[in-house]
Formats: sequence, C-alpha cells, structure tokens
Amino acid sequence: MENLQLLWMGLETACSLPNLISAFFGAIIGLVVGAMPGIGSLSGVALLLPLTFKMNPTTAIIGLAALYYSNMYGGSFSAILLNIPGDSPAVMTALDGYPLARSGRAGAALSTAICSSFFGGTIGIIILTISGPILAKWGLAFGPAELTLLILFAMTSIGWLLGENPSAGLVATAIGVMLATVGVDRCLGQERFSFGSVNLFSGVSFIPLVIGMFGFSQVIDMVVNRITYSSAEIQKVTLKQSMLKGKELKGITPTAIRTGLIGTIVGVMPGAGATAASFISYIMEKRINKNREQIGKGALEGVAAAEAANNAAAAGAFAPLLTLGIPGGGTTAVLLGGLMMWGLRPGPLLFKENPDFVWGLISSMYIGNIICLLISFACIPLMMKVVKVPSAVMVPVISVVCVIGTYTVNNNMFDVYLMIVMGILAYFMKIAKIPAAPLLLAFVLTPMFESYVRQAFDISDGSFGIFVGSNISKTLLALTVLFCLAPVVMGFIKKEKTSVDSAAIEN
Amino acid sequence: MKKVVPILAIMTGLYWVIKGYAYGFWVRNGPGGGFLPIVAGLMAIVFSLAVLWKDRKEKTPSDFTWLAFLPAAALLGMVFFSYLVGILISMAVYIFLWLKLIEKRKLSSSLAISFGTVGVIYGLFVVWLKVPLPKGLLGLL
Repeated sequence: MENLQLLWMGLETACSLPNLISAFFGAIIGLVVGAMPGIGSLSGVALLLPLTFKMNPTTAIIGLAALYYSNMYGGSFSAILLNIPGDSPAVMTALDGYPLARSGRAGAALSTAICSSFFGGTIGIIILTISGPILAKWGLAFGPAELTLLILFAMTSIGWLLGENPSAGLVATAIGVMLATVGVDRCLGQERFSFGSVNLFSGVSFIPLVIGMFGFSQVIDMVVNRITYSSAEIQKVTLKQSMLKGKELKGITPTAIRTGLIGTIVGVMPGAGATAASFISYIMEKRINKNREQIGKGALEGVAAAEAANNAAAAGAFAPLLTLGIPGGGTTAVLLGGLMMWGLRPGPLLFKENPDFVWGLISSMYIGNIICLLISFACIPLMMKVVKVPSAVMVPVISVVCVIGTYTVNNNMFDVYLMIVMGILAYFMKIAKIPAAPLLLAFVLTPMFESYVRQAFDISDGSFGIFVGSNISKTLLALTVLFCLAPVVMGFIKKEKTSVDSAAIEN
Repeated sequence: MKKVVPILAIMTGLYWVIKGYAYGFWVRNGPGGGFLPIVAGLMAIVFSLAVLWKDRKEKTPSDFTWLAFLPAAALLGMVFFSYLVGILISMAVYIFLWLKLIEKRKLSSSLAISFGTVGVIYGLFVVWLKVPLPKGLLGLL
C-alpha cells in the first residue's frame, strides 16, 4: 500500500512536462539507435550522457532510462527486417523474425516484437516496484564488509558470465581495476600512476572511457566490417498489415508472461543482462512451448520469447542499481556513472533520501513503456527508413558526436585523445575476444570497493574476521567462490565426459 | 594481433605490481595505496597468461585489418586541424572529406550531411548548452 502511495507521488514527478518530454525524446532516440544496425543501448546512452549534464538529475535519468528500454524495442526492427540485430539482445529475435519477414509476415513479426516488449517491460517494472523497497530495506543490513563482498561478487560474476572464455572476462576486469587506480587516491591522498600529467591527477575520466570503448569502437567496427544489404531486401509494411489477430495475440501472451518473469530475474543478476535473458528464455520456450517445433523456423512465439525477456531484463537491471548501487550490466554501469556525476549515490539509502527521484524514475518507466509501445507502432514506416541508413553515413557523424561529447565534459582536448586510445583498445580487445563490459563495470565499482574495503578494515582493526562476521557476508563469500570455481569444475567434468565417451567409442 | 591485449595487459600488470609495491600494500592495519594495483596487476598477468595458453594452438587467422586505424587517424587529423580553424569548421571538413573521398558519395549529399550535422551540434552545444568550443587560431583574428 505504501508502495502505491509512493508510486502515485512519483507519478506526479514523472508527469511534469520536462520529465515527459525527456521520456518522449529518450524513447524516440532509443528506438532509432536500437534500429540502426551496430549501435547498441550502451553506445546510445554513452553518447547522449554529455547532453544531460545541464538537466535536473531526475529528468536526465528518466530520458536515459527511456532510451535504454526503448532501445530493446528498436533492436527488433533491423533483426526482423534485415536479419541484422540492432543490438546483441535482439540476436534471438532474428532467428524467427527474419524467416517470418521472408515469408511475407514482417508486419506480424514486428507487432509481436512490440507487444511482447511491452508485456515484458511491464512485468519487469511491476516486479521492480514491488521488490525495490524490499531490496532497499534488506540493503540497509549491508555494512562495509558486506558491500565489499557484494562488489567482489559482481566483479567476478560478470567476468565469468560474459564471453566464452572466463579468463578473458577477468583480464578485462583487471584492466578496469588498473585504470580506476590511476590518479590521486581519494582516501590516502597519494598520487598513483599519473605519470606527472596534470590531466591524470583526477584519474581516467569516465566519459572519454565510455565513449571511446562503446561509441568510437563501434565506428571502427563499422569501417572494418561493412554491413551491406540492398534496400530491396526490406519489405514495405503498413500499420494495418502489422495488426495481430486475436488468436495470434492469445498465442504469444503466455510466452511473453513466462519469459518476462524469467527475463526480470536474469536482469537482476549482476552481469547477466538482456542478452543472457533473451538467450535463456528462447531456449526454454524451444523446450516447453506448444509450438516448439516451429520455433527457430519462423514462429511468433520465438520472437515473443526473445523480446519480452530482453525488455524485462532491462527493467530488472534497475533493481540492483537503485537499491544496492550495483549495476547489472554495461548500460546500467554508464547510468551509475551518470548518477554519481549528478551527485546521487545509488544504494539502500537512495529510497529514503531521494524518494522523489527513485519513485519518479520508476513511475516514468510505466509511462515510458506506454510511450514506447505507441511510438513503435506509429513509427513503423519511419523505422523502415532508419534501418536503411547506410553505415557509410553513420561513421563520420558518430565520430564527430564522440569528439564533441567527450570534449564538452571538461572542455579539454586530452579527453578526446584518451577517447581515441580507448576506442583502439576496445577494438583490439574485440580481436582478442575479450569482452569490454567487465572492464567498464570494474572501472565504475573499483573506487567504491576500495573505500568499503578500507572502512571494513578500519572497523575491524585490521582483522579479516569481519568478512565472515554475518550471514550475508558468508553467503556472498560462498557465492563468489562458487562462481569462481564453477567454470573450472564444469571444464573438468566436460573433459572427463569427453575422455569417457572417446574410450567407449574405441572399445 | 590477437595477442596484443594479453601481452599489453601482462606488461601493464607488471608495472602496476612494481609501482604498487612502492605505494605500500598494507599500511596501518589496512590496505595501502598499492593494494588494489598489486591485486589487479597480478590478476592481469595470471589471466592474460591463461588466455595466451588457451589460444596457443589456435590457427584461425585474426580479424585484424589496418583499416581499423583509419577512423582514429582521420579523427586525429580533424583534432589537429581544429587548432587552426576551430572545431566546428574542422568537423564539417572532416565529414565532407570522409563522405566524398572514402565513401564516394555525391557532392550535394556530402555537403548536406556535413553542414546538417555541424548545424545540429552548434545548436545543441553552443546555443543550448553554452559550451565554449575551441575556435583555433581563426578565433584570434
């Protein structure tokens, strides 16, 4: 009941004109960015962050959050029409969406994607509304030791969860921690790794790092891997053709609800994110859905599973971000960086100290989700044009946006050079199949980690016992160890199984 | 080229460990300034070696192409040019030249895209956000 009252109060904040405009434009930009092949929510939020610095924090985060979840809507357009997912969470959408489009049912596939995104997003937001305050209350039991272990768990789990090679994820985490230690140590006042450069005294700036690694690296990727397709490949779809029949809507609803629930749970986990949510949900539907034989060959249920899950995960990712200050993935890590720059400190106390902000954001997500649904349907003809924008045009335009976005943060050209270096580093990391998201997460979390670990030792007078002093600490420690050991054990079991199988074949 | 990042990470990790030791690993019953650099440096060394070990037998050619440096070189050219004519003009020139010379687009569309983009940037950053953009030597005139 209290939640409903707070939600109502937040609705008043969300419905103020600047916040509505912010959500509206965020939703449109997210849709366009999502539809453009190769540009994801991470790049979109990173590139737009500098534009929001002069805004009120609530208005700014409402716009960026709208961009984030509307990006999930947009990603399905190019996946269905071109077989090129706009972003990684839409990869599974293409598996059924494109065959549907090839068989002349592009409109039905697009509608399924939009409706399922709405269902999934709504489920995620409802769960966030209910679980947010509970998680925040629970979070108040977290002292420096528990927070240290929680961050450690987040950093190690993202390393394992992203990429095929866990070591590669941990290399990225290590690089992120190393970059975060550059500059004056905030607790001890000691200068570290600044190489005498005034520009590095305050550390490696967040914006050049983010824009370089996720904006400029996309530009390099576009130049290297030219995405080519003929405009004739894209079918013309009208709004009328896109309308789903009652039977079709009835068919996708249970799928969207199931995968929406799973997507939210996956989204809440650190590091898993929308891509993992859509993969898991799609695989599950392929096993249990009534129409499972058709999934993968062009079934509306396949599109619904992937889209509901990725939108639900995008909403679910806000739960750990707002309540514990732990981002669930790359985009929420950028949002966390933004929140800190606006002077807000996400964590258990955020719900108490800034209820206007938190509930304004949650309420705006309900409104934003409806805006996304309406805009997505209304913009189907426009999106046909957006997906056709050639990467040749996007390369120089995004490049200058990267430069101007980086420069304007500190009015300093050094940041622009840093952004270019980070973009090249991200490209080489991609070549080496080292994921960049763990680096970003580690970079954002390291200053907090360092501060909490010192506080914990100050409290315990240097004793390690504080890290096993409470049940929360013990659980987190056990989870961290489990996550670190699981791939090793799994690899061993796999190896054993292979050797047993090969021995059986030989016999 | 696949080995560039792991090797760089090993070298940087080594430097971080050595410098971290000088900053102090454990100071007054708690982590010193060198605690995280040493831990991160060691992590970088160990896991980069693991990546290199895992890839030792992989024979698939790397996806690397020197073309990847073209956007960075072009941007650096644009930034250096901005010291002379200011950032807005250098951006317009950069977009135009990229579209005309590299993408071989029509003169009219190249001009329209370059002036359109710079116009939007001017409106957003100079008019709305009041950001003082560098005007280069031209601004001194």
